[in-house]
Amino acid sequence: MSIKASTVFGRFVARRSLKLAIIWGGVFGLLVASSALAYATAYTTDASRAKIASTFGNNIGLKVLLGAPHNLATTAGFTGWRSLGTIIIFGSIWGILTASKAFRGEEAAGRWESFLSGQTTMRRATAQVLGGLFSSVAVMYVIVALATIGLGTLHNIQFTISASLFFAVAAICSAAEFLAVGALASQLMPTRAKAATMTAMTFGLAFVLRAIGNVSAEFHWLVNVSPLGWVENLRPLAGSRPLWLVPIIVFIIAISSLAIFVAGKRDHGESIVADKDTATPKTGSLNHLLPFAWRLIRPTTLAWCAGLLILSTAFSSLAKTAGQAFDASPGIDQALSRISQQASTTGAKTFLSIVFLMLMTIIMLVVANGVSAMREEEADSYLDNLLVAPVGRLRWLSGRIVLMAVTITAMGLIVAVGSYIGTRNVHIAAHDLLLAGINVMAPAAFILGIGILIMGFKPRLTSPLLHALVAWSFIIQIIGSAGNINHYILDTSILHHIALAPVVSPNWRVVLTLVGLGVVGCIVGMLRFKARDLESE
Amino acid sequence: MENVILQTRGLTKRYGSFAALDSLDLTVQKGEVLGYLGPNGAGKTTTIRLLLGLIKPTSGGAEIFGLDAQKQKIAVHKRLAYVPGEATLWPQLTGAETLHLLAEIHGQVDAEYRNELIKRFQFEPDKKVRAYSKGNRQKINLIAAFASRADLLVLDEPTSGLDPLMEQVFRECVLEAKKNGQTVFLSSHILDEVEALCDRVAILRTGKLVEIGTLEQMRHLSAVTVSATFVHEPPSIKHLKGVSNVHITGQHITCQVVGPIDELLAVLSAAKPKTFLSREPSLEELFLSLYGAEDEHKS
Ligand SMILES: Nc1ncnc2c1ncn2[C@@H]1O[C@H](COP(=O)(O)OP(=O)(O)OP(=O)(O)O)[C@@H](O)[C@H]1O
Ligand SMILES: [Mg+2]
Repeated sequence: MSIKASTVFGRFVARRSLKLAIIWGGVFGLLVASSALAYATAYTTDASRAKIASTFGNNIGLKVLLGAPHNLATTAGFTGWRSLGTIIIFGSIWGILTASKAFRGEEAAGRWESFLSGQTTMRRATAQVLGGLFSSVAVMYVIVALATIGLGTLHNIQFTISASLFFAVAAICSAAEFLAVGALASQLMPTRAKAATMTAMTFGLAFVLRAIGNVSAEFHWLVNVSPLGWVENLRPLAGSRPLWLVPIIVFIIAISSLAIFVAGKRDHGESIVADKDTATPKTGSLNHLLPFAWRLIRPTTLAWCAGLLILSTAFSSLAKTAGQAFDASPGIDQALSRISQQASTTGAKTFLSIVFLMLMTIIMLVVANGVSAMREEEADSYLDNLLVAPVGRLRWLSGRIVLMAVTITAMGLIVAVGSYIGTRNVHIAAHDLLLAGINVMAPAAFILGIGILIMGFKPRLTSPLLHALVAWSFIIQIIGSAGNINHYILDTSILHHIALAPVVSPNWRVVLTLVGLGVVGCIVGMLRFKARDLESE
Repeated sequence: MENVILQTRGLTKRYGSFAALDSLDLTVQKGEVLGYLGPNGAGKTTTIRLLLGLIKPTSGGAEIFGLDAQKQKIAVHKRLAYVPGEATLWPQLTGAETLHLLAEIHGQVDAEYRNELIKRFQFEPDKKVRAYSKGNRQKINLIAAFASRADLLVLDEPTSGLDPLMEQVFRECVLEAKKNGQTVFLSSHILDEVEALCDRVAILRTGKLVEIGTLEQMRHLSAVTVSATFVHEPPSIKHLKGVSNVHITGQHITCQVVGPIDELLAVLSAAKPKTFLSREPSLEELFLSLYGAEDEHKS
């Protein structure tokens, strides 16, 4: 086999993962740029910087979400903390989804089989695919590095080139770590959903370890045992500590090697944690289209629901402590709480609003993934099996949309319930949390509509465009909260329009508008889908 | 007219300026097995996807059972079954579950025949789809299609991945379907299979139909190879109508002839041949010449 032929599969996988890698790289670049610019233009005096440093520096909620800040009184320190904290989360999610798709997903779709029929082994093929995925990470690195270097040349920012390069390294670490974990999980677990769930659980564990380490002095060492903590410890733009690259690199190499080794221990189509290859048929869900569609998405949907319940409960249980930090910090919150005699709840509600913003973003991502999964069913020609039978396209798609709408509703209620459980110590009215839960559904419904619209007109762009839209909205919103940002740009963020419940009550006009636009998007997208050619990958 | 199951009129599919299928006119009669052949990229799968309404024609159209293949898809699909060359079935379902699902969605199944087919194809239905080999996955689609007893079977390279034993079972099933009055549209690269099963053969090349007819008719249309040995000098035959590729070595002569052979025979027999042999083209030769037809015209 020629060298070219032996890398063809790796290149194929790299190509398939590249589009999203480029988009995320670009989004990360924008995130860095806007964090830095917002800070540098909004806080020009030492006094204002000292103030912002103490506000954010003592905020437990933000420490949990983004990690512990350092040198917040400098543009570099603020940018490094704010943007890296967000990038770590999104980079990991990209790694989890990409790895499970490239390994389990492509294998289930039969593409590994045709490749393996050449003269290659499972081990070599796995190594190649990993290589392909890591080259996508390299592209991500180049994009982030260029953006940061370009930004650093601005007179009010001034990052050194080496600091920028090091920041870009830190920015891609979590993506690379969870690609490796995802590769290993794909060898161990029999299905894509299970591999993704296992990787996501590893991520959750790393996240929780880091979070506890960051808020508690006693358990601070936990940061040093979490793969996400190592990335945080790199402290790019805030007195870089490159030695922490050692555990990261060792981790990536060890896990990747283990994945390659384990791949050689199994056969194509098999997995180490054997799921039974035979099963007694359960045909109850197979008599109609809708129950069958539910059966297909059930594992992923239930896993997300459980994850959301845990996340919403866990984070909202921090509301009391975090709220006290808010209340103690100078600013409107304090004034408000003094006046309204709600000292104990306003701060907590402000924190909860941040939690809801994060949960809202996750639910939007779930919807983006759900629509991408519909598109993949078309792209991988699973859908052909249904459409060559007497099943209309509209019937199929509307069924999937209904399931997704139900999922969105359920998730809104779940985060309301989760936050209710978590906030029993602060006594926030259940009613407020329920409204916040309903508020969360609106942007998700909008994303569903946009997704179906894209799938109708530009099916191959469904996943990249939709994910980019979610990421963009989240990032603009986060940055917008740090100050000066052009209101036209702010307007492009879906999340910017939505009122941040529960600290303020939902803006029902916005909620209805978003849901209405979602419905219109679904209808137009469906009609276009009915009229166009099916398109494979 | 009521015996026409499938008819296309000027069926055309363009991708940009490239015509994947160029104005196809084709009629398939009830109970017929039509072989649909052509080199890779000729447009066979494109035709089938157009017939199934998975893609839309740029111009022209198709009728199946007298119904518009695009506008009345659902009614058409109730009466047809399709087997793709490479099926992607849901990896998490078992074989039995997949068969159940496909039957439920199609709405028509002969359960008894299905069980018989499972035995004949030596198919183990309780494994999950992801654990099957390619050939076994292919069997799922074949069993589902034959068990539906649909009026029209549309098969796109259905035997890729089957071992010779299973290929044999497949052929029996097609012949049973034919006996049963079903119509079969069979795209294939396997010439033996086409010869064994097909009443008529249509040959497609770069999106155009180059030939359609029975194998007999096609054989007649193509060159017959003639060779003879003489005691003396072989006669001169180069000037005769339809004769080409004349090779003379000593007393031995070979040539090819298209069309009536009587003139050539008269000249050869007048020269008192010692041996005489005429041979129809093998199936391979026939198809190679048809697949390459356009190149020959160009050169
Ligand atoms: N979506 C598409 N966009 C552009 N070109 C296409 C598309 N689908 C098919 N084609 C082109 O149309 C031509 C016909 O393809 P088709 O799949 O019908 O060939 P085929 O006869 O089935 O070949 P094979 O024997 O290899 O299966 C090919 O040249 C192919 O590249
Ligand atoms: Mg084909």
